Amino acid sequence: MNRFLTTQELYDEVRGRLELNWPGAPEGAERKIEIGEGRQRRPSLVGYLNLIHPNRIQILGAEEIAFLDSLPAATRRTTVQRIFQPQPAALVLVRGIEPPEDLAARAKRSHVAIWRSSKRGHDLLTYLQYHLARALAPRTTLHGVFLEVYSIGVLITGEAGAGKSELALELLTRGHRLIADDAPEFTQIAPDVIDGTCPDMLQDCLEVRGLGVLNVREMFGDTAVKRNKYLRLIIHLGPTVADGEQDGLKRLYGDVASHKVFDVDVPRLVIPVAPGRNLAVLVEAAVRNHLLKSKGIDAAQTFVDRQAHTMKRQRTW
Amino acid sequence: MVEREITVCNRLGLHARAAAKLVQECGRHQARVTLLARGREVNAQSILGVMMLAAGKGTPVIVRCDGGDEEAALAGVVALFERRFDEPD
Repeated sequence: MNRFLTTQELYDEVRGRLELNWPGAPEGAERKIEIGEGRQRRPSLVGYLNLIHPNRIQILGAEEIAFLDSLPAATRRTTVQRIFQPQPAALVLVRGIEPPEDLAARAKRSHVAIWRSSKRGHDLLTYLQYHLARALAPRTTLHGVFLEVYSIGVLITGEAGAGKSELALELLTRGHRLIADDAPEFTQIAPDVIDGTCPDMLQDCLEVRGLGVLNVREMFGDTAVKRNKYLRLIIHLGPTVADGEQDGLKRLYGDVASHKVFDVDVPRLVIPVAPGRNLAVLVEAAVRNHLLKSKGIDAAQTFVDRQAHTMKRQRTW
Repeated sequence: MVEREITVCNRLGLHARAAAKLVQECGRHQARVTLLARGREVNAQSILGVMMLAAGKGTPVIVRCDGGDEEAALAGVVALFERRFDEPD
């Protein structure tokens, strides 16, 4: 899902941080800033004045103004025209530079916002790029309970009634933390990082069958809730498999596969649910094992290698 | 109770993948399957036990099945050994 921001929304979000002001009547407040598809796709949404690959937000500093001033009158007119032709969302003048009259007039006529900032162009550029990348990142909702277990983000999934919420409750009493129940939102904030947060509506809530909705923050304290966490592991509560059906190797290596969230592979582990199994202990152990594996300690592989080595050394009968 | 002595004939012996197949085969039957090799007796339903035998190529192994469908279980396990655990060599 690709979101978009309007010029007004972006202005409201970053004005304090970037010391922006919007002189005159706000023009072009409804222009959209979005990541286009196909031919509209731009290498970047924000950048210094570029007439060949126009940015949605063009930053103008002393150099750009000096360049405009150096042009003969006729060329200057067509250049200013070319700045506005691709319909930018906003122009930003840095270091408190006053917009030249012809630029301001043309912006008013084309209904394009002109912002002024007292910051340096470079600061503006890095912050806006970071802010837009986060705000416009692909976003999705996955069904499950998102928890922090031993400091890593774990999404617990399973059919309705598999016991996800009860498991979450037990992990909470063991000192782990809740991020979101039922519908955590995941955003790809970097090529290999997926950040999970709680929709505002569901903040602090956990629904448990028979108990209704619980407020985790009030019940367990502020430390039992976490705002966001990177998704590192998915644990699926699956049905029990008969002995003869299950692939024997899973007995050694565990039922590990990977699940694609956007284009990132997230390891996914299936734990069969059966009456009398202590799922919280299993989840804790699974997370500890996952942490060890990510450090290069794989118990199953070590054992298999050790056995193969022993077999090779033994004389044949 | 039925039993039969066979020889491990695949190149890699009872390694992880072969042991996994053996355990899976035993899981399909109700009979209790036991393997005896090098003076050790292990439950064939347990993958760690089977791997602990470290039975390489040429090791004689006694397969013992007890109760339920013991005949079918024995036939299944022996067939698996004779198929070399479906491995190419």
